[in-house]
Amino acid sequence: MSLIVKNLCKSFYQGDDKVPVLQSVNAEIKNGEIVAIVGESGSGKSTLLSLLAGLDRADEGQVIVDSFDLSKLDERSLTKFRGENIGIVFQQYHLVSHLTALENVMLPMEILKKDEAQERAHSLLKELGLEHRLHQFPSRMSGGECQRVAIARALAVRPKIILADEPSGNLDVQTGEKVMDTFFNIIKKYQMTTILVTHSEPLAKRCQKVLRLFQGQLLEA
Amino acid sequence: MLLKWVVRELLRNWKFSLFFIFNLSLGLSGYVALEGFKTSLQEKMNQNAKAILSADLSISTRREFTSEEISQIDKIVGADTWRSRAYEFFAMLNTQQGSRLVLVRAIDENYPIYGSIEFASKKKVLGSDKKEILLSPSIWIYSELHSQLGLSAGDAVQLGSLKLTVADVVEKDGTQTFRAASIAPRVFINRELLKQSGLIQYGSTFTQSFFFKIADEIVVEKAKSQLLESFKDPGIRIDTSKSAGQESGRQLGYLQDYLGLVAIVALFMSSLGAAYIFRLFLVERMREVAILRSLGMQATTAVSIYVVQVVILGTLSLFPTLIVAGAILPFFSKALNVFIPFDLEPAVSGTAVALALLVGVVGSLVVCLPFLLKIRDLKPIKLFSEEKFSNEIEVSKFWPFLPGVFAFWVLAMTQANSIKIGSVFIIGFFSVLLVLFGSGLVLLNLLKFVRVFQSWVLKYSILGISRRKTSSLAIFISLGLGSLLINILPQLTVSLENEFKTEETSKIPSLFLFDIQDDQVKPMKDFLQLESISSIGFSPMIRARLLRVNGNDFERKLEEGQVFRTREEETEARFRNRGINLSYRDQISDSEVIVAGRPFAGVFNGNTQKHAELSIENKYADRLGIKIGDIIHFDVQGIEISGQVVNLRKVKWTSFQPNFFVMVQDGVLNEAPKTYITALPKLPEVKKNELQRALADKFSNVSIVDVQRTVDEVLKVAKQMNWSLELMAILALFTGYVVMYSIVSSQVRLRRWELNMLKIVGAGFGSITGYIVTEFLVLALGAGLIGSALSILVSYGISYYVFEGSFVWDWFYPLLTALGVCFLSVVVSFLASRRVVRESPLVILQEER
Repeated sequence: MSLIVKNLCKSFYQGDDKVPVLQSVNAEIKNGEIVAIVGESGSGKSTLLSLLAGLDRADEGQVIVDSFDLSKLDERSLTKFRGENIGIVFQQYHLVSHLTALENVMLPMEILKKDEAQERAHSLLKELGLEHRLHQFPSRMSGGECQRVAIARALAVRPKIILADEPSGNLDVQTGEKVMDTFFNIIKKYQMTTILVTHSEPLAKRCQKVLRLFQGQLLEA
Repeated sequence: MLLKWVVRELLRNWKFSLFFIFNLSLGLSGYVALEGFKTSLQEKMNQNAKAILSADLSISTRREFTSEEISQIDKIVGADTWRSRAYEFFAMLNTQQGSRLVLVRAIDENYPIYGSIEFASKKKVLGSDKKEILLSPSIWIYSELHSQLGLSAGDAVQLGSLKLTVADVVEKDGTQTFRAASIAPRVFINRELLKQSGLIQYGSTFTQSFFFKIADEIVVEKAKSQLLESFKDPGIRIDTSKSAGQESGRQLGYLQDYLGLVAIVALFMSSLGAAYIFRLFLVERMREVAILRSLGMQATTAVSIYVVQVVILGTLSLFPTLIVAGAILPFFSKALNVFIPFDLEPAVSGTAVALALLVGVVGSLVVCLPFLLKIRDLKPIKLFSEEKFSNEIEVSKFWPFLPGVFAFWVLAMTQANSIKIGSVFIIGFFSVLLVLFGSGLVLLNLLKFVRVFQSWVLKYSILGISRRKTSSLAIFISLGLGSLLINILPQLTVSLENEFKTEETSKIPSLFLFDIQDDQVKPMKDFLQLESISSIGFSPMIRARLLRVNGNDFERKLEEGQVFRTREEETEARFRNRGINLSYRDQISDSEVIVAGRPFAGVFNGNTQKHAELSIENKYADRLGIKIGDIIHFDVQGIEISGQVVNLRKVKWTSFQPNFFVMVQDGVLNEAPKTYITALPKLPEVKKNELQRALADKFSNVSIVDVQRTVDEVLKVAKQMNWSLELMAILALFTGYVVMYSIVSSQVRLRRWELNMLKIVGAGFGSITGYIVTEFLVLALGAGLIGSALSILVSYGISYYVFEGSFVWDWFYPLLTALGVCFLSVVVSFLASRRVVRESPLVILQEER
């Protein structure tokens, strides 16, 4: 699934002052491509990611996923589209605290009424090395384990696009590397289009393309 | 710095502040309105105390004073002290329009010593005025007789053998305390006419009173203590205007006590809501507190911030409380004004304001204490952990809730004016909470095993309920408690109405006759036979006085103390001061049943028995602490008789059959001077009226109570009381719903991140709303059904123990309540979740730092 970004603009208000964050951002990401977006803190990386995920609306411009223009979809259609096509991995994991690891991964599949949710969740968690933690609650798991569950949840419905926001940002170097190894293995295996926001140069280097966000513009690094 | 921080935080979280104040003030307003009403009533009573007693000092008894007693009174009070002497008794007033039981007050030229009587003719009579009824054979009648029998000034009436003319109609009697207190309207006649009226005969029930004017309060009090010292007979009652004012206020006391308990329930519910809102507020503040702590702030300072906030909010809630209480007060007055003889303009008093402030501030601190302690115990190290900040209270650590429980216990006792009722209320209340807690726990554990749903909405909502135990239990208990409270009053009303309805259609008599003389029994039986009416039976009634129980003197108690501290003390003193009517019959009646002990062993045999056998009504025995086997001594017309309690009886008083507290074995009192009472079965209205007139004409001293009229009066009073109780219940209900809204919306708000997460992973708006609604619906259904079922049990308990009535189960109200609670929960959770679902998921995820 390809992703085209056309003239994307987004500003925020600080009191009465309008602060532009993204200024006419353009990009084209091909089907199965793994792209890293890097940039300084406050450069608008996470804002861009949230616009690509349809979590926020741009002031101007378009995000076109295959033939769907996300800016034209209403809230309900956008939610449905996101659920079926986009998997998101957050830096803070954002797992549902009263659900076990297995249930957290099953949840999106059950929402979309996918068959064999339990089997698929089980196999994904096994692939991520969490077979022994299936019935643990997030509060009883380490950061690395939580992030792996979050990755499994993002991959569960086999979305066409994966958006990851600093997926290893909360983990130590060693754990981060391990988690990302597994992550890359899986997205490559399923040929998922992936956009990864990161501060980490080594992580960015593992991607096929690196884009730098600088002064509201997206530039090829 | 602290205060600045506190104010800034409250202002920035103005929605929380307003909601907290709103919740608390709702509960407080019922309490404050009631306090305001009570204080205003008592103040008015105290102001009118002299007029109510119509004297500075009164001495009364339910018999003739002996000449020795009168000499003693003269000696203590002074023979030349300004005085009035009056008699009061029930009698039948015969008119062309029909007969009616009236309360006769036979007065002399000095009556009333204080206060006045105002008439329809616009005349006003004071104690010093010449009175028309003393100059000619005439009578003053209360206005009810004008409306019921059409009597007006100039009409001829007959009272006993007296033929009198209505001199005037009383519009306002300054000596009257409570209108609903009497089932018979009052009339005034000349005391000098008593003898020739033939109304007071041997054994007749009457009260004789002396009223004195003694301007000096110290002299009054001195005279009172001397009189109490001289008269050991608890049947002689001594009142001063001071004590009369205080006691008159108490006649509405029981109703006020129960209203007070309902007000406490409303207060409890609103405190629950306020505590919930505060908890949510603190959950959102926990990270900030942890940061402040890590920057060096002491735990005590961190706690102080929130203590000061609670104190400020508690104080601020006083203002809306006063506004709402001021709005409720007129309704209270309207609900209760039929009982009050004077115009009362209740206002929220200074005492009520002070109490509201105390309850508002201390109450808020107490209910928020468990959460405040969480701040104290918060470890800044949590900032380094990945665990989320929570403010859940572990159920096992219940001790922080104890001050709250204690505070409510104290409030309940002060509101009920009774340690016993207050304690029973609190024990009952917390037992109900415990049952709800237990059943909620069972429900949550059962839900763990429910795995049959295909739909993720049902599956995950059920899973959520069983996994989030603390919040699920809190919602379950609140909803259950709400259902219970909503349901109790209608259940009790149905039972009470049914009680009268059942009797009306079956055995309830038409007329109840008392003060029948020994020599009138046969002529009356003959008369009734002639009229083809069979009486329920003639029961003898012998006046007596309790002397000793198990050798202990049964003397006057607590009168010296003037003011009773609790209702129990008051009841006990009242019972001790009353004379007692004894009776005998060979077998128990249909309306009574032996609950302990054995039946009488036939007729008394003086050769083999040392004591006569006694049967005591169970509640009466309970009040006086009498048990089976106790030996009781009575004074019957100067002769001492003794008896041993062989059984306790439960009497169904609403049957209106002739029944007595104390029954003596047959063969003991048969020769004692006595009067008789009887009841006549149900008769058509016309026949009843004719018979009433004929009986009053033929047996002029006999008093006749129209039972149906009395039942109607009782129901009218009950309805009026119910009205005021309903008013308070509506307030409790409204508070309950507001609290429910607070809980549901705060729960949804607490979970807004989770709901948005569902949205991010693809759940539709409808599904997310359904997910939340299902959770609350399941909890509300369980809580509604269990709360309603519990309300049936509680109503049954109240019916059985308080009203002694048979309980009637009514399915309509419990079902309606359960459905109502479900409906409301669905609506509230739907609205609350819709609001959250509409928010941008990004905003919420960004909030979750």
